[in-house]
Amino acid sequence: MRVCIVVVLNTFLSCGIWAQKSLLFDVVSLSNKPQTVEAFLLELEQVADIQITFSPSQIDLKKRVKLNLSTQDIAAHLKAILKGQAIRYQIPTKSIKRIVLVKDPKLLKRTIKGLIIDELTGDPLIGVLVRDKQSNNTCYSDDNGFFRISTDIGNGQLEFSLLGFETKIKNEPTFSDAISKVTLDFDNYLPDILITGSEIKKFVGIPGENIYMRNISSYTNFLGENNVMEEIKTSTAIQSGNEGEIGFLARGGSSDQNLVLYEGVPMYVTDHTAGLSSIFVADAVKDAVLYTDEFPLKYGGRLSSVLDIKLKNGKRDKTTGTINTSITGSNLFLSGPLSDKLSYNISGRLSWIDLYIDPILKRSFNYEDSQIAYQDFSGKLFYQIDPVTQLSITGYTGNDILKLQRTSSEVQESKVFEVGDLNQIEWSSKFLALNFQSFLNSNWIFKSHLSAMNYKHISRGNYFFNEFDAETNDTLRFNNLDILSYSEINDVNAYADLQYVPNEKIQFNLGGGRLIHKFTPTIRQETTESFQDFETIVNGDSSLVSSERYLYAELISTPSKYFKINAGFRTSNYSVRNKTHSFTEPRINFNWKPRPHHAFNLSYNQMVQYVHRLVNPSGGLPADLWVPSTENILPEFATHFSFRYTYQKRDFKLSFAAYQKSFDQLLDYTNSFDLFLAVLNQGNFVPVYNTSNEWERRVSTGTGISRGLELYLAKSLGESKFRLSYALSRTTRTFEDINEGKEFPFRFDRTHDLNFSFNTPISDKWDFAMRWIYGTGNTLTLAIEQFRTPEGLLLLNANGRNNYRLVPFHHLDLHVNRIFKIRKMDCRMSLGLYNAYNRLNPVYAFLYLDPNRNDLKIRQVSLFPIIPHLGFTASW
Amino acid sequence: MKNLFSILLIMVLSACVHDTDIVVGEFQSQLVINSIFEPGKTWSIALSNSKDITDNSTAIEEITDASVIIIESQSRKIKELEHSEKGIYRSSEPAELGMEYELEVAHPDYGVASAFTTVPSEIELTSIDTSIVELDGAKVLKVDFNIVDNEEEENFYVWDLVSSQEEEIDILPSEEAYLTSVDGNVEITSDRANVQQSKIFISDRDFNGTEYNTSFISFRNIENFQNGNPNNPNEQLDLKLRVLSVSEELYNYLKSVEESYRSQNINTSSVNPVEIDFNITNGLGIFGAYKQKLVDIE
Repeated sequence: MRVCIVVVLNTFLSCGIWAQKSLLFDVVSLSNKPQTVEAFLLELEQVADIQITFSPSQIDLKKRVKLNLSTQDIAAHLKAILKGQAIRYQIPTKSIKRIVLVKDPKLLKRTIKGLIIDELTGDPLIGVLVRDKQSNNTCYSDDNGFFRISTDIGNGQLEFSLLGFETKIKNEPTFSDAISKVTLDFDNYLPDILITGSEIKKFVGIPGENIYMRNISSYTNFLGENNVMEEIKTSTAIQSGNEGEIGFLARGGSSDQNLVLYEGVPMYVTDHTAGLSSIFVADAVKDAVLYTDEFPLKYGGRLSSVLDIKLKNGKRDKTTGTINTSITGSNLFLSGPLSDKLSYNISGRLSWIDLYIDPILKRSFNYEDSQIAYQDFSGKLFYQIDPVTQLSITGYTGNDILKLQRTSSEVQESKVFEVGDLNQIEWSSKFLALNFQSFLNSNWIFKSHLSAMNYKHISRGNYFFNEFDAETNDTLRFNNLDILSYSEINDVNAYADLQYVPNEKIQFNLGGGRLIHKFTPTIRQETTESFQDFETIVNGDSSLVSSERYLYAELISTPSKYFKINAGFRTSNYSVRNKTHSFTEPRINFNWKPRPHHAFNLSYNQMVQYVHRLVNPSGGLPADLWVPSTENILPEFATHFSFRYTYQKRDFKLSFAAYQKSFDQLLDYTNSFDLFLAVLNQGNFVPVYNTSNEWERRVSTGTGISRGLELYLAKSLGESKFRLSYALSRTTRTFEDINEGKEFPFRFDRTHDLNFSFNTPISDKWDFAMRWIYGTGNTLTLAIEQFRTPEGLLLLNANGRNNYRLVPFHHLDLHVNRIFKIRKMDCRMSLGLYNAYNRLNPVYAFLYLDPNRNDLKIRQVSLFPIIPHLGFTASW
Repeated sequence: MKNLFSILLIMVLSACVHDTDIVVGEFQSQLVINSIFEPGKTWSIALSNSKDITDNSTAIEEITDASVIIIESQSRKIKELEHSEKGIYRSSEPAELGMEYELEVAHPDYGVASAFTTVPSEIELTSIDTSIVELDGAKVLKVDFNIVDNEEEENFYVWDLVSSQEEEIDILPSEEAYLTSVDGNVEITSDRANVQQSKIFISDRDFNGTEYNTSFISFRNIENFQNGNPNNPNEQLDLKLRVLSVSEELYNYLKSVEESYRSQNINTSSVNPVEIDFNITNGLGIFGAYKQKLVDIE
């Protein structure tokens, strides 16, 4: 009996519970006309024969609502009637046909996720400020253009702003639950904008300084061409100046310690000869993001900085292009649609400096053969598979050649003397890359990359001295020295990254990859001239294959709007010639914004580097030998601490930073004379360098340390803007085999580094810009201490490596732009002066004994005096 | 207009060269100590100072008023050297084979400079053979020989060819480079022919305690030697093979001097000259011992 009662009760209860749930599934029809919430609730009670109870103060009963569907279940009706009011319905267990409505504040908000796109180019916009106007909650779009922000349901208003773009406001109801797309239109053409999105990003703790390519037209190199590599030197962490040097120097590091990614492919060269141009056509570049600290874990393999350059995807509604000409050459950019999902971006550069330099070199400097030429070509196909999935294929090829050759002949008594020299530098670089990206859903983003690249650098010096009998033409003496430095790298690279973003407060990044290198570093010296091509001479006897694998994991947490932390590690494994090196690189960054306009950042990063560039240690012909870590040469390692304070309010920004970077296992040549020096010793040329494999025996490893303070100031005065960046630093090296193991200054140690720029519109058609750069001179080793040997001979001793400092480096650049239209094309004529007061800044120097006065001097060689430049740009 | 354009281009595109005075701050002259000695011979130490090459008003001077002592490391026996002439200090007692010595020089203007060295043991050579070979169209002398290495110590060897006519033979490298070796163990030189030096350098790292065979080639014009006749191998050449066993400090010093001769410090773009490997603390120069063996070349 008891059992029966229990069974009956359970059945009754179950029916009751089921009945409660089934109440919500009952389909009823309500009016399809707009009416108040109160009216709909009354109608629902009558039609569904239920009782609805609620507190009138919690519900806006007067709000008018229109149902999209008049016939649906009760739950759907309640959701539609009470939309935007944060009301939850409950069914009390004791009642079968009663619904209680209660207020739930959590239902007031929702997280909106979306992509922000440049209306003009179709490219994602990074660093867009997204602000909820009601709560003042903010976030920034990331490097995918992706944002996520919490806002009030129904009342929320989101404001999208980015300097240089029109601000857009969108109401919350217009956003769907899927990933929404927001487009921003460029505001106006601002050729010299100073406070870019990079400052905003840095201010609120987004790592990396983003360089907006449209804004760099005044920050050109000395020959009037827009130059990405010149623009990054406005960063306090990058050294200004260094004429004639390719690459750049970041916080005490050498130029091979910078990872430059071009569409995800690590590049070994970024400039053409003597910095005449960079390899990037500025108009084709969408983003150039520079990291000098706070390194994201997905980047590795270099010690000092990361520069991530991405090309534009290409608009899918019309064709656009830009052509730029100057005295050295021309470049062209074209982009447009091939279909509604497929677009292209092609760019190229061609030099014509040879056309007028060659006759001058032949006529005025007696060169019988000369070549100065460079070119680049990039092509990208972008396919938008669906709104959240994209695939791109990019190819690049570029090369440089600089060649100078001359001979001279002289008759003395009955002998003929013939002397000649050939100096040649050339490099080539090409790659093919595949990039894939997909938003798997609103929380997961997947990216992958596959590429192959080839890089070659060749330096050659050939010197000969022959003596003939003038009458018989018999050879009396024949001396020849042919020196070749050859560096070739073949890379195959594959990696994948995964981002998980469950909400706006937390993000997980995971990834891994593999990079296979084949190096062929070779130096050969012969006393006969070799007429074979370089590849045959080299013969691959110095080839080395190495493999690099890595995995990383990173957590980005924003527990409150005042605080953000990035933390993670990267573990890598490097194999070469049966030897494996493994490293784990922990990294952590804190960002704290205690009050509006103020931000603090503290950063700790470890980095490892498995490839090295050995450079000709003196100022002569560059060798640029890229070599890998081996079983004898350990990878280089760096530990980096930095602190930054930033204040930014409206159009004023002040930033102060301090850093310390320590290096381990640095490489340098032990004995540092010029690799390409042809020594004439009683008519016999003496090669002092040997075959390729000996480079390991010729180098030493050591440590280094760099410390610095950096100051950055930017201010707008109406439409005029000025910017000042200053760095005070000291960088030293310590090698056991060099300088008796004592610390010595780094070759590019620069105590003071200052970059000041100012620009202003003169009228609506003219604008003016100026820039002044100052830097402490580079160091060099000078042997001026003379002493006597046991035999009484006199030799020179250098009392320390890099014991002498060149004079400070500074120059003033002036620039004006005239903007006009030709038909539908936007045109710009640029006129400028590089080094306006003709300062002869030394590129290198050596001891010179004046034979007439028997006086020892420093002979300084400068590269670029005052240089006017003229350029023309047309865009459509 | 065309000329103006050309001038502008030349101005723009040519490198500019100008000379400035060298200003390196206050120059500090250092004590220079030169002593390369053989066991069985009396000590001879030359003292001088270094000078700033850019300062024409100063000269290298001999130091005649220093205190110079040599300490035998094992017995701590001190020998005091007396100044004899022109900055040279001598002792009547000879250095001994296999001993370790410490040199100390004190002077009020230069402070105290010191150095250590060890006297190497005897050299044993066997199987010396010479031949005239043709290389690159020239007749050259090839010398093959064996060194019997002492297992109990680390040995450093330097060899070259010297003329029998020379009474006093310098052991320092010279500007005249005419030797090359195809032995892969030698230092500085390569495994390729035609890289010439004034001396050959090798350590016993790869043949310690064994009998080691090596060879080298002399490009010195055979006809220059008295009675030398490459067409008649039986005729005696006026040459000696000289093999030196040197202390490690002297070995490093001689090697760096050799490399210094192969580079130039003046009138070239080389702004990073070779560092000479001195073993003097608080000074420049060399305090090193050697043992030499001379063998007639036939």
